[in-house]
Formats: sequence, structure tokens, C-alpha cells
Amino acid sequence: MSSLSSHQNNSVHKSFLQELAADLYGQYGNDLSHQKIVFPNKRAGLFFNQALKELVSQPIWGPEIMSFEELVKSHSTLSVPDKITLIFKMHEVFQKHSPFQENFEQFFFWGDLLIKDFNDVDQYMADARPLFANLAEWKAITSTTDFLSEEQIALIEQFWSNFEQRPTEAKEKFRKTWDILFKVYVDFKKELMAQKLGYTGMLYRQLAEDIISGKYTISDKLIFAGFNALTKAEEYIMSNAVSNGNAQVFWDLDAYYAGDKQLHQEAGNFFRDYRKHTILGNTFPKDLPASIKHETKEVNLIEVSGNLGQTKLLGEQLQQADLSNPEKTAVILGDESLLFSVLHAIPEKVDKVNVTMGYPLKYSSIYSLLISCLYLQKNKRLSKKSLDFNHRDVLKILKHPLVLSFDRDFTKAKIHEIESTNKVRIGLKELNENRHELFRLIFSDASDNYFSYLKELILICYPEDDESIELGFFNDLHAHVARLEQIVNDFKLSLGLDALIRLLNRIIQSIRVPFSGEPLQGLQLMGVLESRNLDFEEVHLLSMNEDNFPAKGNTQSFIPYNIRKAYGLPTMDQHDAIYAYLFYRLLHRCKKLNIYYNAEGSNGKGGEPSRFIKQLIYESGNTAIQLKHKTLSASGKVQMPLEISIPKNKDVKNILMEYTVPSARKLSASAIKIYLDCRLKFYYRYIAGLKEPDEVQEKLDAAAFGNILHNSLEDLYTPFVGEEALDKAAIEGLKKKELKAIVEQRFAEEYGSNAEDFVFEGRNIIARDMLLKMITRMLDYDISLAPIQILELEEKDEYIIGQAVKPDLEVFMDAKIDRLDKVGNTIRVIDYKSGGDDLKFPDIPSLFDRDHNKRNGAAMQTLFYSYLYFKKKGVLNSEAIQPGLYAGKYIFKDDFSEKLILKEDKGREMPVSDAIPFMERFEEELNILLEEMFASDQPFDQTDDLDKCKWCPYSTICNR
Amino acid sequence: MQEKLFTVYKSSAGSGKTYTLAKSYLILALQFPEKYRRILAVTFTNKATQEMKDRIVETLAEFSEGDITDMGKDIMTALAITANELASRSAELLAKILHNYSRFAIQTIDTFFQSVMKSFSRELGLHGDGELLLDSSEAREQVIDLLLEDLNSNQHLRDWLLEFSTDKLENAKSWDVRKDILEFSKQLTNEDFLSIENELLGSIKESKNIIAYKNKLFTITNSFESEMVKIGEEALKLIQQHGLSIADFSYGKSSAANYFNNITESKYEPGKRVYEAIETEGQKLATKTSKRKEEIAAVAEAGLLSYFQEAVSLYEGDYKKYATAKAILSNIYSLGILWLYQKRLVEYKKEEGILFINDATLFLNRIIVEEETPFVYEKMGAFYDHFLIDEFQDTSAFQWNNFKPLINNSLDQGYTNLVVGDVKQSIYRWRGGDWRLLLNGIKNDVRAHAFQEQSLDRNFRSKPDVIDFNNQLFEKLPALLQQHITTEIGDENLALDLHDKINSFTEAYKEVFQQKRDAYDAEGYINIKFFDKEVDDQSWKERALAKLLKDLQSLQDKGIQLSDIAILVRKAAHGKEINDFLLQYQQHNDSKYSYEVISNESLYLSASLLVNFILNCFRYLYSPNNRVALAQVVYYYQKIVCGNHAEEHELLHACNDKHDISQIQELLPKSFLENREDLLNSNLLDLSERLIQYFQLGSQSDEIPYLQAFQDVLLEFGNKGDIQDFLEWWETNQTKYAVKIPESTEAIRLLTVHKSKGLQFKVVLIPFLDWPLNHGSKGPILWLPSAVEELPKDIPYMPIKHSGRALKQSYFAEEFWEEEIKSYLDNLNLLYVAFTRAEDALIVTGQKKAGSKQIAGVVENVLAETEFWDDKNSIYEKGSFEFSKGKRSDEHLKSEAIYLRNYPSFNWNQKLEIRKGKALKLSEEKLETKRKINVGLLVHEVFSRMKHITDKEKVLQELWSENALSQQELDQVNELVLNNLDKNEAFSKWFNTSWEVRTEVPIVNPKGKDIRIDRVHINGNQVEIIDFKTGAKKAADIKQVKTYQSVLRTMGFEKVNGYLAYLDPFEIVEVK
Ligand code: SF4
Repeated sequence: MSSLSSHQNNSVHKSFLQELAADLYGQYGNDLSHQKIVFPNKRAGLFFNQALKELVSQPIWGPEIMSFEELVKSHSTLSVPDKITLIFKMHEVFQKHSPFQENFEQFFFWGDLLIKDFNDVDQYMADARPLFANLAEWKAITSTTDFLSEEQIALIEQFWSNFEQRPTEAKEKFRKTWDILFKVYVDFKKELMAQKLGYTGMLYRQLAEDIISGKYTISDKLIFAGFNALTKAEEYIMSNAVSNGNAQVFWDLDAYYAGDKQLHQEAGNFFRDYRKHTILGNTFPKDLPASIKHETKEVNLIEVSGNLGQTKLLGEQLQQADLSNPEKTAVILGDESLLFSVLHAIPEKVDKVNVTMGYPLKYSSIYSLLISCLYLQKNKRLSKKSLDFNHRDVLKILKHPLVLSFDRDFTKAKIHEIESTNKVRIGLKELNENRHELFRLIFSDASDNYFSYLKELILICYPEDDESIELGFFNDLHAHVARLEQIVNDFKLSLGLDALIRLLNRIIQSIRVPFSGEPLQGLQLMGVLESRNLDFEEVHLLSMNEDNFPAKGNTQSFIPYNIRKAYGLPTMDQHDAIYAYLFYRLLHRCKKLNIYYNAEGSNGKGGEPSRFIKQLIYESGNTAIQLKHKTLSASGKVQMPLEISIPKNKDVKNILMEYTVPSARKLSASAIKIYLDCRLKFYYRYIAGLKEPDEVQEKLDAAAFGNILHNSLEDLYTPFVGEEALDKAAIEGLKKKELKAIVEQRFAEEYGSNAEDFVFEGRNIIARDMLLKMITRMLDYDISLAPIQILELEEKDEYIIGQAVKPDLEVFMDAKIDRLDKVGNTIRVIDYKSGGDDLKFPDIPSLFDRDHNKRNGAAMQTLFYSYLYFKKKGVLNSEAIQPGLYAGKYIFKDDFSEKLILKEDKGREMPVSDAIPFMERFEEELNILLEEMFASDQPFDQTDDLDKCKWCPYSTICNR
Repeated sequence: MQEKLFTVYKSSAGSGKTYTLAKSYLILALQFPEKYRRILAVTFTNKATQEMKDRIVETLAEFSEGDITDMGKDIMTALAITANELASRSAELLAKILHNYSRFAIQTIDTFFQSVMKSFSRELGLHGDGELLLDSSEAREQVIDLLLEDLNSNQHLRDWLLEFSTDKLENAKSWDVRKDILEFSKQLTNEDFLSIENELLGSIKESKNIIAYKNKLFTITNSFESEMVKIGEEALKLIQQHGLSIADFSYGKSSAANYFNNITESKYEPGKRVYEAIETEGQKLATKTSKRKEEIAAVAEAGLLSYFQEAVSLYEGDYKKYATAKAILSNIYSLGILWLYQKRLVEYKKEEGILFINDATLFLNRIIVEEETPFVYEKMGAFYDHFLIDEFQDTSAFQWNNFKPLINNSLDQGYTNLVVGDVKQSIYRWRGGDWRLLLNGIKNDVRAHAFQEQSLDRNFRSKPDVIDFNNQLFEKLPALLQQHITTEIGDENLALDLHDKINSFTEAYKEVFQQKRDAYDAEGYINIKFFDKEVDDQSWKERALAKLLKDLQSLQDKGIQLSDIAILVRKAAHGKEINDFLLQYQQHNDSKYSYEVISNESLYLSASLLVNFILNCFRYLYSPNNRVALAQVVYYYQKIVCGNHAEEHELLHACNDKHDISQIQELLPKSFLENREDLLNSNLLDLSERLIQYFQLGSQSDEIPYLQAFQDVLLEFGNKGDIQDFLEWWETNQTKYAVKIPESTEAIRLLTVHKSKGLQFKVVLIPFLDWPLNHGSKGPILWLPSAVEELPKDIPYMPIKHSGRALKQSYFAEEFWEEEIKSYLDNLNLLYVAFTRAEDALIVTGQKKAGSKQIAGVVENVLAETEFWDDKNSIYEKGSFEFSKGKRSDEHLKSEAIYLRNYPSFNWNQKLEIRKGKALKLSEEKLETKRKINVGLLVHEVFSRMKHITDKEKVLQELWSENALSQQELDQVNELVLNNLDKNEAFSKWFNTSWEVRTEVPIVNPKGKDIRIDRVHINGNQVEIIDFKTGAKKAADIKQVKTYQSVLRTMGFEKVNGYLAYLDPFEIVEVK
């Protein structure tokens, strides 16, 4: 053993493949190249060659390495077409026999399933004639043959006994399909044969049958290594080769589960069968290895809440581990969607990672773009002259990373435009400004050929970067689209767009793109299935939950359970047994196994630890396995909102003092309202100058609704400012003639568009109708008060008032009154409110009392306006000033009145018809407030009332 | 006597339900080794499923080690076996279960139904791979958006939506109805609707039929209203004509005469003075002292009396009909919207190939009910003899319908079945649970001879005083509520009709009385305190919180562990309130007490600064104008991550839009600023990883649990959309996500009563006993049969909101009360669940004299009658404030706790060596050439695979299937291959050689890189090597072949000829 490199000296074990290499090299030396080595998957070959390399001193021819399927193919005259072709051919055959029609797309799933079933029938060499017999045929068969065991017959009889009873809907449907299956089976194979094609099971069966009948012999020298579950056909082929002396078999197993007495251990089911096999039995060693029982291994069972936690914990564990030989450590993903999280968590010191697993094509960005584009096409509208698209499709595409990166400025501008104008349909001409080929392609009418549309798309977006991970996605996708196109063309298939989308989804659904790198270097990251035949010193197994490991098997089949069983076709039990073997095999030669599982269910998945974890817990007692339980705990500190308080330092004061300069800032009612709500909010808004984000509104928000309301009413009344009082008829006239046009105009403006171009769609229609209804109602109310003389509308800079807070400190204020009018001797100060503002207020001090639970901001505002009006203009003796709210909440009530209502706690309701008597008190309170704002050191602190934070745009800074 | 095969276990709180289930399961499963495969146990939640599985596996492990518990003894008796036998059978069963785990059929009800459905999907005509949505909200939203897009062309929809909007506006809500439709559409997934869906939709057919129906109803309401108004106006005129006003009548504004004013204002119900006026023929219309007595008598005579009579008889005759029509009309727009929505939904589901979970249940009704059970099993590949159903009170009618045939089939074959449930703990009616099944439905549904009920009447959970207290309270409350509701109904006939329903209180609580165990180490403690609504400016709630704090202190003084204490609340919002309250005291940790609380509310992800920070990064990246987001990003990064002591004003002011981003460069990491644009291209999870890297967020160790949970959310969100989509989605879904704290954490549990079901705690505190007994104004939508009496019969069912006085006066009165009764029972059950969680102590506070509509009010009423009531202090106190010392089971503590100290996040792009894409090597070429499949590559492929010319066909065939070539392309390749073979004789000879040919041969080379040669010909110690090339000639090609040659020489070949075969343009170069 002197030739062993230092590499192996520090490891307890040679890996299975190293042992195999040593054995074979010992046997054949440099002649090894004349052997063909068959592994369950081809990947093992790379590691085998690596092991071989460590043994030899001179270059030698490597042996040919292949998978079982490749072996079979190399001895077959048939070739296996791709899945789509197969399903298509199946569809043709099926339609010939089926009593009802199904189109290709509807059939796709079922066709695939049926091919799988046929594949099973052939792989397990079942006699299709009795298998697919119906009740009558079955009776005829049982009376004439005796090739089935009693047990088999019992199972089949049990099934058919159901059909002795009354026919039911589902039974009838089942029978109708079942009746044709044998014919379909025969015809399908015949069709394929004629073209020298076959599904894999066909190739296997043919080869096995030819070997059995002596028609064919495999003369290759074969080494079978690392197999577990064999199909019947494989078993024949293998045992025939062994009995001919042309083959050796090497098994990778352990007595812990494969021993004679370990009957319950499903992982050993297959091995126990083969050990009893007359030929294969001899290929097993007398004494099975027993490393699971006798060798000390550390197994950590680690409970984690969630998925990301597992990957991050893995990262930490790797950080602490000795990774001088990273290839001796494997990370195996039970749930492959964690791949990228795992990659992100791998510490810096690991400089190479080898990923061996398929990445689902459906998650690729190019695929999502293709689908979005197909939906765009589906929802497009084509009229004689123009082509337009649905905004949602367009936005989705414009925001797609692949598209966004082509012409970011254009794309972003477009997105903004579409979102801010609430457009529902987007015309082609609006999208055509950009000359980039990609945009021209996407936003075109692809009706005549969706396939070339898709192919072009793939090609245009093809990554420039040769190293891009995405490359494989593009290639695969292109190939699949091309194949589908070819089938559709070759067979003149008519495929609607809906069907195409669904079909594409179906096809892509299950496709994984291998994502493989330099396999022998670095930390090994792989899916469960890829771990076959490989050994590692330390293994991290992630997402060890039921549903992941064992993976959920698909139990759907055209062939009912008992019939499958009777004919030895695989069922769920075999599936589970295979996973059990995959799990225990990892224990053979590792020193440390870390098993992570998610203790938390989500998305309907249970968060149940895998059964293998339970098996270890209850059964590893008499082994040398050291089991440890660990829980990833969260020191869940409750998060405190941030305490922020801004003192009035020099900088802040400087900004504040701008209010004392008449030409600079003016204090408005809303600023006061905000200050009363929360001093800090006032600071953010007016001192720090952080504008509320005017995010692109997809829907018309309350503010926009309010604006349109204000503006429309302004437009309606503007012609009458300063004119004679309006009488009932005049207002009635407004209602009829101009209202709708005005609202629509204002609507368009709100979205920065002009009225002719603005199309009312979607929710805007409701908003418009709602506004019309509301304004009509307000006009009706005005009619009931008429005559009304309009004095001013939204007058700016009319009411600037300097208020002396202290002798040398004058603060300037301003008002913008929605409408000032005169009814009789009453000057009305009117504010329009589209929302839920209230008319009631308890008393004047309450308006400025930030802690008062009935503080009425709207009342304060109109009274503030009234105050400014009063100060600025004064009144005649006979006149009254009446603040009022045209409030949406009340406007539809029969007894609507705009007057504020004074209502002390338990007192009566008193409508305010004149504000003048309140003015003195108002001024007092206002002054106190202004003093606090401008003349005290009161810092800008946070409100105690968390309700205020709910709708505060700055809550994100306060973390409230 | 025949053995009863079907047992209903009525399991009051704490009566050992899980124990009973596990025992029953084991008695069946231990009969013979494979029996377990034929037992199906069904629970409602994944958690319950797991618990039951664990329990059975653990018990078997105990038995097999000879540890025979009480349960073991019961099983031994039941099966008549010895302890040894039990041990060995258990060991065998344990092994069987663990190794055939898929056959260990303990499942949730949904899982079971799904697997049945799956096995019948072909027969049901479903997409075999259709998706079953557990959460329908996204699909519903999509459909609503589609619907709103139809607005232009659908006037009906517009009208209905406008009506809806107005309705909302008047209730001071936003006019935008999208959210409301979404909410409403959710109700359309429940069984009440599904069971009438076909009939209802079938009757509508077209939108305009709804309008027609509406018009008919309008006629009814209009005629009633106008007749009434007419009477009112005429009567008022009469009064006026006599020179009188309402004030002249006795009682003035509330006089009988004012009724005429009322009816002109749509208030139609006559008061008792009106009836009095009629009865006394107007005697009391004027007070005795009235000066205008005479005139009033005259006006009564002159017709006022007959107006009274007319109005009253119209009211009595037609009001009910009127009220019913009104109720329908006020909801008719929702029917209109629903009708259009549902049509859209059906199309949508078909197009997308999706099903909602309730559809599955419905489909199964078709299958299971129609088919014989054995065939169902055949198709499923699973065969069950026995059914064990847990939490039966939460089973819905549809679900039970699906089980019924299976169970009856089992009973017919002589197998036992059981269900376990407790009507008193039914608090999930809003999710479809139908306790009526347990109460009496089930009895009629299974084979009568097999049926038996058994009460589990011993309480194993609570201390004796707690048991006594609950026995007493819950024996009295149902009768009390029954009485309340009877009084409220008022109408005796109606009460009689509803008799059965009213009696369901006492029915449900018939077996509430629980037995005690034999011995206890402590008696238990009850303290129920009621506070005045408001005293000295302090509300009862503030006092309750103050008491809570004190109680928590005394409990800790008594040595109670925090994890033994639970605070229960009715609503999540209360939880937050309590949490915030206790938080204040946590901060001042100078005291010896701890107030650590864990609850779903306390650890919301949205409360995390760090999560907030990432969200703001998202916002800022997406719209750089969002300076508020930027301000938070800067603030958090500077203040918290970097610990900068700068003045806040400086940081915040710098972020406003008067400053360009370049002016605040130094406030943000360079890497972030540089990659701003690029970041938008990565998916959300990647993006978050990069932010973690740029801002070194891993250093925020306190926030790691939040970060971890938030990234889980991003992972779950996956590729569903971009940043904006995520932000929108997060807006509505954030409250669903919180950090999950391991069970073992030492802290007080704060949870809702609903969540507490199935749990128990040593001490239970309920600070806010304040829920109402009925829905109040938040009534649900009921689907009521609307074709009643003389009302139009066009549409058989209508959605009617359960609220309002008017409903009680309509034909819907009975249904109104039915729902009212149900909601009373729901709320009583909540109380039962809450009060029975306590093992040792129950401490409750509520408002004094809360009234008979409040749970606190009725509890107070009952307690006030008991001997432990202290009326002066409004408190009920019993037992001693001493606790048993027993520890909680420390099961999970044997697991070692580990923590994430850092939060590893690194860039991985450099670590991966990715194999380059194969067939299509397009990147170098211009777009034009990209459009052609690279035929050259394929030709290369043919030559390197083909050993002998005879292989050509097969190789081509292989390439065809691998690369999805069209026939045309294939021909093209074939032609080129033949062409090349023609060109050069030496070349074509290679494919006819008699030497040994190897293709793509690996050479295992210990000294250097492994080699793979395209083609080798071997003859003894002579060898020819050939390398095919597609591209242009390169010097490196020759060097490569030379290396091969030298390696082959070291392998002992004497003559090594090397060739390079260029295929395009064709040329063969010999390497010397
Ligand atoms: S979030 Fe609350 S505390 Fe912060 S500014 Fe807004 S209102 Fe004030």
C-alpha cells in the first residue's frame, strides 16, 4: 500500500470509489481500459478516475464509463427521442382509440403519465396482455392460464370485483380509458419501432428479451458498481452478464440495513432480494461491511425555524470547520430552492464550490420574461388600425430585469408615465418611441408565429457574458421552443395561444438545467440524488423534512395500485426505499453528519422532521453513532421603536426663523395641524424638508380624489367670483351643462394629461362617477341656500398675517380658503372635504390640545381661516362669519348642514352660525401654540398617540 | 348486545382527548402487525398531526422498553395480552411504522381529501397537474382586477360599484371598493355559499335579471312608502287645518300625533301611544289640562283617528314585506357584483388550471358519495378499515359528507370508528366548522345500531378549585343566555319556532360538569375582578393593566416560572396593547421582576428596525425620489450600524431633495452607491444579501432573528414579482410574519384565545374580559332564501348582512335570530376555552356592569349569585394563592441551544466555475448569425461520436433527439458530413479502418491534467490520434496534439501519428 498518497493516510476510510479503483486496478492493471464500468449515474466516473489517478504512476487509458441507460442504448438499434416528441406521438395513437377528443395540450400531462406507465410495464417486463385486460378479458384469461400466482390473482380479482357492482360515473370513465390501453400500448410501440425510436423502457425490454431468448449477447466486459434498485430488465441484463462471466458487480452497502435480520429496514429491501437471487447472490461479499454499527460517527440533529436559518447556520459551521480539503465536505440540499441562499452563506475562506444539481428552468429570468410576453400577446387588442396592450402586462415586462437593463432611462420614464396616468390600455405607438430592437420585437403583433417571437426574444436577450450562469437556461429554452415549433409545424398542429402558454408551462415545469462546474474541486454542493456513490467525511444535509427527504413521490398512474402490485410494478414503497438507501449510504463512510431541519411549517408543508431522523433517534442506540440534538435559538429581543427627539439647535432655529420673515415662509393651517399631531412630524416635513414620497400611484388615492373635487368646484364657480349672487336657476344650470366636462378635465390634469387623450378606464370610472355624484349633491345643497354670492375661491396670499408672539418675534401665517361666499348676511368660510372629517368639536381649547381625544383638525382649520379673515378684513356689525365643511361623510344625508357643531361633553349640540364670538379665545390659544413653536426650547419630539403614527409617512424613520 | 362500533367521545376541556385518541389508535394498531396501515386518523392542523404521530411513536418506544404506563395497562386489558406481549408487539409496530412511514396514516383532513382527489383527477376531468391553492387571495385579487377592467363596457357593474362606493362614503370610509370586493369574495369560498351556488347562479343567467328583480322590489317599497307618506301628509294637513300643531298634543314631540311626522320621515313603527290613541278612541290625545282639548277632540273625530287606523293597519299588513324588500335592496348591488365576479372567476380558474381548497372538498362530494368506497380505495392505493377523527366540532358539513360513506362502509364490515370532539370548544365556525354535526347531525348519519356516545368526564388538567369554578359557571351560563335571548326575541311564536336552536346552549353544555381526580397537591386559585368603567380619569382597562403588573409580580414571588404563565386575549390588537404596556417595564430592568413576553404580536417583522431598513433600501432603489426612505437608510446606517454621534438634524436634513445624492456620499457605503442601478437587476433575495454585505448588517446581532425570518419571506415570495410587487404584497401581508421563538424560551406566553385551544398553562391571566356576545355591527353576510311570501321569486337567495333592527321585523327574522344564537354560542365557547386553559390559577379582570350583551356582564351576573362573591369590591376570589411545585416537562430542553453569532453573507460569483453552455455558442457572433443553428458544431459532434461509417445514421438520430433539430437541419448536417468524407480519402478511410477505434477516450494522467482525445486508432504499439476542430486554425492546436503525442509515448506506444482535422474550411493537418 505504499502507493497510497498522503491524501488517504489521514482518512479513516477509502471511499467506495477508491476501494473500487484499487480493486479493479489490482485486477486489471493497465488493461483496465478494456472494461466498461457502469454506474447508476455518470458523475461517479469523474470521481472514479480521480481515484484511479491516485493509484497509477504512468498515464493509462481510462476505462469507458457509462450509465446503465447508455449501456442499453449502445446495444440497441433504437434511439430515444425527447419527451415532447414522445408525448406527441402518444397523443396521435391515443386519439385513434379514444372515445373522446382531447387536444394535445390537455393531453400533455396524461400522455406523459401514460408513457411513464408503459415504461414501468416494460422495465419490469410485465405481460401487458393480461395486465391491461378488462373484466371480461380477465375472466377469459384466468380460466386458461396459470402463470400468475395466487397472490397476484387475489389482488387483481379484488380490483375487478368492483366492476361486478353497479356502474358509476367514475367507474365508467375509468373503464372507457382502461379498455383502450392495451391497444394504445401495442400501437404506440409499433409506431415508434417503425421509426427506429423507443422510450427507454422499450429499449431495456427489447435488450433483456433478446438476451433471454439468446438472440443477443453482450460481449463487453462489464463492471457494475454502486447499484441499489434495479428494474426487472436491468436485473436480467446484469445477471446474464454475470453468468456469462462477462461482468463483475460491486455493491455499496452496510449490514445495518441490508443484513438478513434487518427486515424492517426498507433501505436494504433490494439488497436482500438480490442476495437471494441465484446469480446475483454470489456477487455479494460473505460478510457485509458494518461501519454504521461499529464506527464512531457524530450525528447532529439541528432544529431550525425556517429555511434561511439553516443556510446561515451552515455558513457559520463551515466558518469554524477545517476546510483545508474542502472536497471532503458535502452540502446536500433536500430542498433545492435553497441553492442560492446556501451559496451566499458560504464563508470567504472557501474559495471554490462545485455545484452539482439541476436548477429549475422555470425560475430563470428569461423564462419569466417569455411567459410575460406571451401574456402580453394574449391580452393584446387588435383593431383595424391600432394595436394596444394591457398595462399590467406592459409594466411587468418593462420592469423585468432583462428588459430594464436594455435602456434604463427609456424604460423607467415609460413606467412612470404609465403608472402616473392610470392607463389601462397602452397603444403601440406609445411604446414605439424607442428604437431598440428588443422593444420593437416585444411590442409587436406576434399572432402569425409565436415560436419565432419567442426564439427571437431568447436570442436578443442572450447574455453577452460567456461565463454567465444563465447561459444554460437560454440554450435549453431555445431548444425546447424549437422542438415544440418543429412538432407543431411538422404535424400541422393548431395550437391556440392559451394552449401554447399552458403547454410551455407544462414542459418547462419539470426541466432542470445542470449547473455543473469543475467537479473535483472545492466544497461539494449537490442535490440528494447526485450524492449517489460519493463519500465525504463531513456531510451537511439541509431541509431534512418529510416531503423533501424522502421527496414526495407522484402516485398518479393509469394503472391502479393493486394491479401495479400484482405485476410487480413499482409503487410508493419502492420510492421510499430508494430514498432510505440514499440516506443511510451517506452514513457509511462519513465522520460527521449534520442534519438540519425546518421545525416550522409553511405553505401547507408540515415542518415535520424526516422519518430518517426518527429512525436514528429510536434505533441508533446500539451503534457507535453519537446523536446530539441542537436547536437554533433566537434571542428574540423585542424591537423598540426608536426614540427620536430633535433639539432646537442653531441650524434648526435658523430654519424656524424663516417664518418670521414676511417674504419667506408662512405658517399654514395644515402645518399647525401637523404640529399638533406630532412635533417630530412637523420637524420632518417643514424643518428637515423631507417631502412625503409621491410614489407613483397605481390607484387614485384619497389625496388625488380630493384635489379633483376642489379643482372642479373651483372651476364651476370661478366665473361668478365677484359677480351678482347666484340664484337657484343659475346653480341648477351649472349642474347640467358643464359639470361632467369640468370633472373630466380636472381628472386628466391630475394625471398630467390633456382631456382629449385621457381615457376613463377601470377604477377611474368609479372615481369619476363618484365625484360627479358628490359634486351634484353639493350643488343641490347650494341651491337650497341660494342666492349665494361668491366672494373668493382659493385666493392666494390674501390673508398673510403677522402675529406677534413676543415683542420682537412676529410669525407669519396664511390661509387658502376653498370658498368664501355670502348667503344673506353671513360670510361663509367653506372647506371641501372628501373624506371622513367630522363637524363636531367640544370647545376652542380642545382644538389646540394635542392630547384631546376629540380634537377636530378640520374645525381648527376653518376657524383658523375665519380668524385670519376676521383679522384681515373685519366685518360689518350685521355680518356673521360662518365656518363650514362640505364633508363627504355627511353630504348624502338628508339633513345635511355645513355648520360646525359645538358639543361639550354631555351638552347639547350647538351649530355654529357665527364664529366671531369665538375669536378672542381662539387667538389666545393660537398664541400659546405659536409661542411653544417659535419661542421655546421645546424639542421636536414624538407623539405618545400611536394612532397618529399609523398613517404618518415618516413612521418608517420612527419605526413605529 | 351488539357491539357499538361507532363511538363519539365528547371530550370536555382537559379530559384527556389526545390520550384517548392515542390509546384507541394503539388498541387497534396492536391487534396485528400490518393493521396500522388500515387506520386513518384525521386531525385539523399539521401541528396536531405531528403531535399525534410523535405521541404514538413515543408511547410505542416506551412500551417496547417495558415501560408500561396506565395506558399500557388499558391496552393489555383491551387486547387481553401480557406485558411481555405488549412490549414485543410494540417494538414490532414501532419498527413497522418508522420504516413504512408513508403508510402511517395520520393526516390532516385536507391532505387526505387531496390525495383522494388526485387519484380521481382524470375521471373528474381535471388537469392532472392542476394547482390546489390553500390561499385564494391572490387569485381573487387577479380576478377583481380583470373585473375592474371591464368597467368601460359594463354599465351594470358601474352602477353597482357606484352604489357600493356611496354606501361606503356615507359610512366615512374610503370610496374605493376594491378591498371590499376582495373581502366579500372571500365569503364566496365558504360552504354556505357553495352549497347554494349552482341554484343561485343558475337562476340569474344575466345581469339584467337582477335589475328586473330589483325593480320589482322597488315597486313594493315605493308603494308602501308613498302610501304611508300620503297618510302622514294628509293627517298633518288636517291637524294644521284645525289650527293645531304637534306641540298641542300630549307629550308634544313624542305624542301619538307626531307619528305622522315620523312616517313622512320613513319611521314607520307605531309607538304604544299610537295604539293607545286608537284603543281609547283619541281620549288621551290631549292632556286633561290642555287648553285645546276640544279642538283636539274635534280633529280626532274629523279623521285623525281613521288616519291612525289606516297607518297602523298598513303597517301591520305590509311592513314585514316592506322591510324584507328593503333588506334585499340594500344588498342587491353586492349580488350584482358577485354575479359578474363569479363568472370571471370560473373562467380564470379554468385558464390557470387552479382549484381552491374548497373546490376539492366539493369535487369529492361527487366522487365519494357516488362511488362505492372500495373503488375509491383502489384508486387511491390505500385501504382503511378504521377512521379516527379529531376535533370533530370543527368539521364542516361538506367534509363530513365526504367521510360519511367511508365510515358507513367501514361499519358495515364490522370495524370500529370514532370521533372526538367538544361542542363547547367550537370556536372555528368562521372557518367552516359546524358543531351542529357533533351536537346531533352525526347521530342521524351513521348506522343507528352502531352509534354510541361516551363522555370523557374527568378533568386531568386543572386543580379542584378551578374545576369547581368552571363547573359552576358553565352550568349556569347557558341557561342564562338562553333566557336572555328568549327575552330579546320577544315574539313568542318566533321563540317557539326557534326553540331547538335556543336550546342548543343547554344541549351543548349538558355534560359540562367534570369529575375530579383522586388526589391533588394544591387546590387552585380563582380571581375574577370587575372594575368600574371609569374612575378618576382612569379607565377600567388601565386598572386592569395595573393589576396585571401586580399579579405578575406576586406570581414571581411565589416562584412561578414565566413560561408557566399565559396571558390570553380575545383579539390580536389587545395583545399588542398588553405587550406595549409590559414593554415599558421591561426597559427599567432594575427591578427583580421580569416581564419577558413572547407572542406573535411582539415579534412582528414589521417592528424590526433592520427589516424596515431593508424595505427602505428597496423603496429608495426603486424610486430615488423617495427621500423619506433615504432618510431612514442614512439614519439607521449612521446611527445604529456605524454608531455615529452626529446631530440627527444634520443627517436628516441632508437627505431632503434639495441635496443631490452626491452631496451625502460619505453617509452611505461606497459599494452601495456604486451598485445602485445594478442592484435592481438581482432578485429580491440576492438583493437583500448584497445589502447585508454592503451595510454589514450581520453585525446587528440583536436583529438576526428578524433578518433571518425576513429573508425567509423573500425566499417564499420568490420570483413572484419585482420590488414594487413585493412592497405592495408586504403592505397587506406583513402582519402574518413574526419571528418564531422556540418553545423552550423562558417567557410569559401572550396569545389569543383561538390560538390557545389545545394548550394548557399553570396560570392563565385574562386582563381584558371584554368581548361582546354577538356580532354587533360587524355581522357577516348570510345567504338567505329570498323567495318568501309575496315577494318576487326570481332569485332564490340573497346576500343579507346580519345587522340592524329592520331585519328582525322582516321575513328574515328567524334567520337573524339563528345567527344571533350561533354567535352567542361562539362567544360563550370562547369563554369556555379561555377559562379551561388554567391548571392552577385563573385570574381575570373585566368591566363592571358591562351589560347583558357583554361576556363580562353575564359572567358577573352569575358570579354575583355565588358564595365567594364580594359585592363591595366586585370580586370573586376562591382558593389559595399557592402553587404546586411540579415542573413542566423539560422535553425540549435536552436539546442544546445554539445561536447565530454572525450572519454569514458573501459574494459567491468568484467561487463557482461554471461549465459553459454547449450547443449554442452564440455570444461572439452578431445577432444575425445568432439566428442560425451552428451547424458546424453538429458536424463536429457527428465525427467525434461516429466510430465507423455504419454508425452514421444512429449518431444523426441521436443528435436529432438531443438537439431538437428539424428534418431540414438534420439533412443539412448529413450533407455536410458526407461532403467532408468525400473531400479527402485519408479522412474517409479513418471511418473504415480495421484498427481498434476509440472515441472521446479519457487518459488517466497522474502527472498532469486529464486528457480526452476525440478519436484514437490503435494497432499494437502504433497509434493515430485525431482532433476535430470547428474554428479557424490556431497555433495552440498543434501544441495540444503534441502534448497528446508525448503522453501516449510515455504509455509505451512507439509510433504516434497525430492529426488535426479542421472541418470548416476543411483541411487535415498532420502534426509531426
Ligand atoms: S411616526 Fe409617529 S412619532 Fe414619528 S413623526 Fe410620525 S407621528 Fe410622529
